[in-house]
Amino acid sequence: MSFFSFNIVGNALDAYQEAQNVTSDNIANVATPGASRQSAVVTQAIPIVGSPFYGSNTGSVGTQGEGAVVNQITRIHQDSYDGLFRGATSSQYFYTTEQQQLTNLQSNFGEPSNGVNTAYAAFQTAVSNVAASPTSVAVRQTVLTQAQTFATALNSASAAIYQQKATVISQSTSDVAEANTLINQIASLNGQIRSLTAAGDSPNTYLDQRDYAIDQLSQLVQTQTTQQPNGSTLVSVDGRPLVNDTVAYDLAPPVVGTSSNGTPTLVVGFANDPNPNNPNPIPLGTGALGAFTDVYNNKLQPYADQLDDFASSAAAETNRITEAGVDLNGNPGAALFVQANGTQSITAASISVGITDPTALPLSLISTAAGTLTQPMNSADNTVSTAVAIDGNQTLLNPGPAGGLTGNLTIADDGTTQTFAYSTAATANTTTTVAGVTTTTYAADTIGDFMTNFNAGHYGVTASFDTTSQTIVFARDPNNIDAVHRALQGAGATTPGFTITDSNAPAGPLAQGTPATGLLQALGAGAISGVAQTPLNAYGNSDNGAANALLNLFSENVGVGALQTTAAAVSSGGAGSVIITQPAGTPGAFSTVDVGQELTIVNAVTGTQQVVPVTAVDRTTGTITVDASAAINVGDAISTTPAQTLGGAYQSLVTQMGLDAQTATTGETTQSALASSIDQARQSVDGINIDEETQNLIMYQNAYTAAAKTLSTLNAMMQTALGLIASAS
Amino acid sequence: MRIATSTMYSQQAIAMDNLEAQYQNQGIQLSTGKSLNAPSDDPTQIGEDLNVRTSIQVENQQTVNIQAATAELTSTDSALANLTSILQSARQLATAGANDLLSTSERQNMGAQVDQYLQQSIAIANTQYNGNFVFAGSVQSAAAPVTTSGTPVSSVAFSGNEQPPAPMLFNGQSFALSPTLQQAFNFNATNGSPSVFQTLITLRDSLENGTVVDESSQSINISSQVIYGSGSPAPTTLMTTGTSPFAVLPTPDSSGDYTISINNTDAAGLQHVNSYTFYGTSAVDSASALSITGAINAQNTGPNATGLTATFNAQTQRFSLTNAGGGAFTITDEPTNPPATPPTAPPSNYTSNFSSVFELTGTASLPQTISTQLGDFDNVLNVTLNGRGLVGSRINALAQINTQLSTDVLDNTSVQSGIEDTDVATATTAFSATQVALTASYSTTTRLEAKDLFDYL
Repeated sequence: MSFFSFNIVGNALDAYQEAQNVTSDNIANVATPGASRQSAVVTQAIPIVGSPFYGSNTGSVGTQGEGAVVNQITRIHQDSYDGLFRGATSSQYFYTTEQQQLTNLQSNFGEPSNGVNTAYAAFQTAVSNVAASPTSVAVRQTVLTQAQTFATALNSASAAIYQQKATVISQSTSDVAEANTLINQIASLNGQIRSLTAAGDSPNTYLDQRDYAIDQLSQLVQTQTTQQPNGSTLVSVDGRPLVNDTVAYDLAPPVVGTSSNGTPTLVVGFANDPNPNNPNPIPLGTGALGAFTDVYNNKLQPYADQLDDFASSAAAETNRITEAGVDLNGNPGAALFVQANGTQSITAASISVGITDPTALPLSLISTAAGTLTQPMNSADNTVSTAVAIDGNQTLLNPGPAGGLTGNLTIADDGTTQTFAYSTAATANTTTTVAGVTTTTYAADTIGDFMTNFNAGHYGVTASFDTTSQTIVFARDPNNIDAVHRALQGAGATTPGFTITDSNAPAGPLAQGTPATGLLQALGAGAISGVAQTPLNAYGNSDNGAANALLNLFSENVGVGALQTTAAAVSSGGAGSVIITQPAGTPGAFSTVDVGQELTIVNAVTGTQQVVPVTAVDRTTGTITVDASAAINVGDAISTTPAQTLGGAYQSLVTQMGLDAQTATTGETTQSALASSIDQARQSVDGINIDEETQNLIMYQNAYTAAAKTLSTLNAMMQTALGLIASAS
Repeated sequence: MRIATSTMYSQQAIAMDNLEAQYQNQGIQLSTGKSLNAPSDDPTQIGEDLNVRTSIQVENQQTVNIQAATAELTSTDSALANLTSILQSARQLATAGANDLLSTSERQNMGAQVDQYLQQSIAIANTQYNGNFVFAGSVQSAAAPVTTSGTPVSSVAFSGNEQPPAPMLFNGQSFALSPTLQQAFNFNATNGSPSVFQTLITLRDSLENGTVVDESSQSINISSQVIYGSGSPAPTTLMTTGTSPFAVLPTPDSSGDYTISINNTDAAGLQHVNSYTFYGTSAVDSASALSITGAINAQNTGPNATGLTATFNAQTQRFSLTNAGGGAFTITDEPTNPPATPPTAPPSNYTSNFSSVFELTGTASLPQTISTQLGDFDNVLNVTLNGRGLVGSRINALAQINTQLSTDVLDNTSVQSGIEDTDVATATTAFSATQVALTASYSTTTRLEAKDLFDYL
């Protein structure tokens, strides 16, 4: 006989102590993120085989149980949920980050109640007011004030985007540092786990820590994991390893590099990239870092470009009008909007008002009606009908001769000259091509036909007839110019004056009834032929033509971003994909062009127009690629295709911002719920439940108590046996 | 399903977070009264909202502009009403002055009164509104645009132009607010008719100086045609059949000659009778063409001088005979067949319709001269009334545009409200519901998380 029971009970006490330790560990980590519950696997101890006691009493060889032992401490963790959870979390943090950034930007933009739109509306209101009171200095000052408010609003909006970009860079830099910490932590844990696993141990705690680190890393980048046979985990992003066994591949702090088309791009690369200033970008996918690069490259940068396009177009279109106007003092108008810091082009950040003196605000336009060189074209007491033929018309002071008049009007303004070929004998326009040059002779058989054809030429001057004074009126009209003229304007200054020269020079004032020698003379405007119409001889200080032109501008479709230039070189002479180079000396001419935008190309010789989509932009080389349906030649005029009003362009930007922010908010809500749901499922397997552990606590406590009481009983038995021995001796 | 303890806490926290976010959003909507506080609140409507806000702002300004324009036009109309009154008073004087029984001093007093009317009309022409001269066109300066020369005033000059500012309205329409000086005062009329100032000057001179004029009562050309008179390099228009622009062609006497007789009383009271053939069949009489130039030369030169001056206004297409020294005169036409008893003045063959061709009265005297000027008064009154009509039509047009504008503002405001404003009833209900849910969540959380099995050990 022996007291094996002491061993047996001893094993039991050890086992339940160990089990209690596991339970205590679980309870202690109930709130520890990433902690998986562990379970002590209590099994029967290996029995003693061939116990002599059994053999002597039973006649056969048997086994003697050794009680219970903790065979293993099992980590309860469902690996299959990890991938799902990390994917959902990555998306959740992607949208959360986007929502935070875009909501902040949206708040700083101040729309709809207090942003650029409000300032732009106030500017339009001020112009409307001054159009009705062009001589009021106070009202003029209001225009300048509102123009500056508009410019300041654009500066603020641009600054908001700039600040948001800085925030993105700052926060993504912090996130990269955090990611690198996690990457190195995972690599270290890989080493520890691999060593312990090789030694046959169960590194449950390290496994939990590694899984938790990967979970956190997934919040930053979209990770993929692969279990290695040696127990380590390969962690990668878009197939590129971040952790391979114990090797950590750190990320480099984000940098703003330049994409292949010259666009600034936020890039995260590896720390060991050979070109750290413009590293090979890692496709980060979702996660916070992925969101930062997406926000910077696909939201903030395009918003900045759109805002700049709006600002540059607003400035260019407004300046085209003010530079064609005359101020209250009779001086040629200046640009209303300028760049504040001497940069090459006006942007939302640099736009400012260049006029400070309200009397210098150009609101008038040159017009022969304000001058004295035109005379009533009617004869005697007759009234001119614009529908009656010019030739032989006795109602005209100097009618056209019986054989008609043919000649050219040369219209010069903005440093450009354009020609209007006319025939008073023609009732319809005719086109001829000589040596490849196409010329249209316009019908000027009646005053009405002349005005219609002249105005359709878009020379920057508009013709009209004043029935009261019976005079033709030629007025500067900065809105009435064609693409070729605009392209030439882009390279030179816009001027308020204009000159119209009749190739059939007038023969001086002619007596009533004498046939006119030229069209201008027949129209009573012979005296203006070749005479520059300037602020000195064709200006009225209370004229509001330029103010009206600005009002027209606000409701007109214009090309956004502003572009008016010519092709300096083209890659091929045919249709198809054509690369166009901007003219020398005009750096940034294509800076406002974006892929997908439509441009109008006007043949400089024939005047034929085509609208082409932009398929590529290279800001580094200053070239654009378009898909042309007809040949493009050097010298052809290029301009933005008018598609929307200025206000509409800004509204499109705000709408896009709203859509992006709303998408982020919706995504955040959806992905948060999904991640939460997956986590709940994962935790239902891995998670620690206090009530369960309490039950285990009680169970192991009772078992331990029973084993202890058994030991106490055995001890009493042993004492009894020892007592017997003592009394026998 | 097994629930981890951490899951219980995190789910409650997530639920409370969501409710609190919802609570805050609803609170903002109620406190601001706006459901659209940021573009992301409704991206599909933000573009239209911005557009409508701009439209409302601009249209409100346009409303102010229209009110100001209407006030200016009303002021202009008042000025033109004064002018109308002045012209009517002057016309009455002209009617009174055409009385044979008036003495020279009485007429001169009337002339002085007309001069006063002239000064008043010049003052009206220089009417200002808001610091601008209403009729100056697009040329504004400190100096008045309408100035005079001579004492008494013999001519009026105008330093403005016929191009008044025309502000653009919200519907893209623009029209000049003020009528031009030409439109209101017939200044520099394209048909050559006298202006308000010239009409008053002429009446004043007639009353004060006694000049007698027989002028065509209307233009003598066919409409859309021109009689080219003296000085034209083009062949002077013949008074012959065919394509002549004369409304009435002269007819010769039975001899084929065109002869008239003028009986004129000079300033000394002496009577002169002169007759002459301005075109005839004899070699002498046919030397110059049968034209208006010939008729004028025959009247003014050579042995036919009658003391009267013949002129032809190529602009107005009117012929006139003027006795600058004063005194009545007559022009005698005779039918083709001479009378059996010739008149005291030889000869016996006369043009049959001289007065008809040139639209003359044939009997000129100071009263008749003044009476003729009534036509000019009627003309300038007509012009001024047309000017007032123009002003009135613009006031009416502005009123209609203002009504349309008010409707637009109302519509746009309604659209803006529909986009931006919170449905208070719905928002209040939702807010209350969220409040209840949040309270329940707080209560549930504290109870749920307060108890576990440990409490019962």
